This record gives sequence, structure tokens and C-alpha cells, in this order.
Amino acid sequence: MFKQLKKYLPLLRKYEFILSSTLVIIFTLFLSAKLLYPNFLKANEIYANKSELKSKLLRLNQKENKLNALNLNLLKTNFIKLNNVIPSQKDYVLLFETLDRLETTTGVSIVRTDFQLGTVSTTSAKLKKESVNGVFKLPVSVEAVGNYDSMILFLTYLSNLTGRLITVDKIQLELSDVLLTKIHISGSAYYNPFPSSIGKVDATLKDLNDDLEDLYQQILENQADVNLIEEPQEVPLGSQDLFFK
Amino acid sequence: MARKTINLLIRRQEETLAYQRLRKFSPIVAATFLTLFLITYLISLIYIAVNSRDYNNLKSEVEISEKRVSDKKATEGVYLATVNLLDLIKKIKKQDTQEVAVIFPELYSLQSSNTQINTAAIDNKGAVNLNITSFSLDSLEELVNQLKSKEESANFKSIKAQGILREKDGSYTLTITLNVMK
Repeated sequence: MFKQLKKYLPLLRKYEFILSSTLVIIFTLFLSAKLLYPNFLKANEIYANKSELKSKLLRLNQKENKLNALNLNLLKTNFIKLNNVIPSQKDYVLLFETLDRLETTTGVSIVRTDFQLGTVSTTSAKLKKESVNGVFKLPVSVEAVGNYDSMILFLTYLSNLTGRLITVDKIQLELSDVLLTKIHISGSAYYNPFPSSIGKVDATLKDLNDDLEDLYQQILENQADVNLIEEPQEVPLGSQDLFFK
Repeated sequence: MARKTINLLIRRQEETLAYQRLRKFSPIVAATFLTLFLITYLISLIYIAVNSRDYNNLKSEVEISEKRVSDKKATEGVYLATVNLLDLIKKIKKQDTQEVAVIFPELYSLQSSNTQINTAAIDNKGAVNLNITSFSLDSLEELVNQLKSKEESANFKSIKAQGILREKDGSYTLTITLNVMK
């Protein structure tokens, strides 16, 4: 074996510079692949994540500023009025209240009301799947008696946002008397269950554009004032001793 | 005897040009490679160290901000519900043309002292079905003329009369169907 090595020794001596340079280059390339390339990837990742974090921080700050500008108590009070227009559940009580108010306001006498009863006690998975624009419809039919003017008022006031929103699909009239008209209205009320989650913490808040703002003001003006029941912060405890006040 | 000279020196082999160049440049290239690697590696280490610190600071700022926004969850929930509900109401109101409330007065105006609407059915797509009694031939003619004029003024289209009955007292009962175009 040594004789064989001795045979190659002159060759090695002749090309020693080239061989050692090649070895250094190969070793450098190996180190680049093992050390430099992972560092490069990590640096890239840090840069990308930093950019993402910066934009997330900006979104969060904007959202925080918007939320700080809102008054929770006022929002809650106003939401009660909005909820009267389209409640989160079928809410038959609100429907009757609306019809009673319309009776008083317009002078019409409501003879009969029919609506889809469905499940009264629970609003879980048994909610009817039929939905329009993402809101659930509640078919309603009303029979009323009144004169011409009160009928027109009644038809207009059904969707004027003073109470529950009821849209009219069809009417049938019977003019039995010169002054009195009997009307049968088929329409729909609506309800919209609350969503189960409000989305990600850094999701952008939707703005109230001019149209929605006008609609909001219209509903707040048309609806009757509501009083928000203040929840007591502390419940006072009674005396420990029955015999001393 | 003639002198014989023996040259013991090994004749130097001529080096090729390629070999000369390779011998000259390979150490330079190797040194350059190594230097470049060292410099780049050092830069990458410094960049990672500096940016990791910045990244961690940014991450903790984001966490603090997320906590502050999460504390306002109640406000966010009510606000989102408000906007969502307003959007829904707007969509429903847009679809609700209140066609019925608009058509009803037009039909009611067909009535007179000699013409009476017995029953009427109106739907929100504009389809109308009327049952009318006219107490004389003249009032029936007047009704027809009114309907013709409402073709222009109130967009009454496809006006059809059917089932005309002449009663014993001289009145006429008929069914009219029409469509009111928007």
C-alpha cells in the first residue's frame, strides 16, 4: 500500500496547490449549505413575520381607537331599539305589541292574526332554514277592518320601522260597506339569531356608511324610548346576626 | 577512449498554460470563497440577532394590543351586531317596494257612486284581481274609460275583463285582472 502511495506522491506534490484550493472551496460550499443557507431562510422568515406583525399591530391600534370612541351603554340602549325591528328570536310578543301599536295609531281594528308557530320554546338547531339575505322569515297573516285612510296608513306603517319590520307580500280586500274595508294581509316578519362568534381579534371593524347611519337615526327616532336596566355592581349582604341591626 | 557525459539532471517538464493559470488562480479563488463565506455568515448572524430582538419586541406589543382589544369584546360584539342588523334591514327595505300600498289608492279611485269594488287581490309583484259591480251601463263605460286612462297614468297593463254578469236590477258584475308595471 505504501508503495502505491509513493507512486502517487509526485502527482500530489505537483498539484498540491490546486488540490488544497479545491478542498477549501468544497468545504466552504458545504459550510454555506449547512450554516449560511439556514440563516438566510431564518432571516427571510423573520423579515416576513415582522412585516406581518407590523400590519397586524396597525390594524389592532386602529380597531382599538375605534372601539374607544364608542359608548357601550349608548350602543346597548340603541341596540334594544334595533332589536325591536328585527329581533334575534321569533318573539311573538313583540309582533303582537307592534300590531297593537299599529291598531292604536292607524285606527284599524285587527280581527285576526295568523303566524307560523313552529318551535316556541327553543331557538336551537330547529330554526327554519329558509332565509332571505341571511335573515330568517316568519310568515304572518293579518285580518283587519277599517276605512280607506286607516288602511293606507296601516299598510305604510307596517314597514316604517316604528315597530317590528313586516313586509307585505299580498293583500285581499273586501269592500262590504262604503266606508269600511276588510283586508287580509299576507306578509313576513323577520328574525336574525346572534352569531356565535365575533371573529378574529385583529379583524377590521366595519364602518357605518352614510346610508346605514341615516337608517340608524331613522330607527332611533321612530322607536319609543327604552330604559336600560342598570345591573347592580354589588349585591349588598344582610346582617350575619339576626338579633342586631 | 572518448569522454562520455551523462546529464544526471532531470529535464524539467514544460508546464502547460492551463496548469500555470490554475496554479496561480486557484488559491486566490479559494481564499475569496472563504472570505465571502465568513463575511456573509457574520452579517447573517448580526442581522438575525438584531431582528430577533425587534421581532420579539413587536410580538409583545401585539400581544398587549390584542389584550386591550379583547377587553373591549362586549363593545365590539354590540357594534358588529348593530352594523349587521342595519345592513339586513337596509337589504329588506330595498326589496320591499311597497307596491301594494302604491297600487291600492289607484284601484280605490276606480270606485264611484255607481261603481263598487267588491273584492280585490293585490300582490307585491303588481298582479291585481278585481271583482267590480257597476250599477248601470253608463258607469260601466266610465269604468272602462278610467281603466284605459290608468294604462298611461298608473302603468296598468294587460287589462282583461271576464265573467261579465248582468244582474236582474240592471247592474253588471265583472272580474278584472291586470298587472301594474313598476
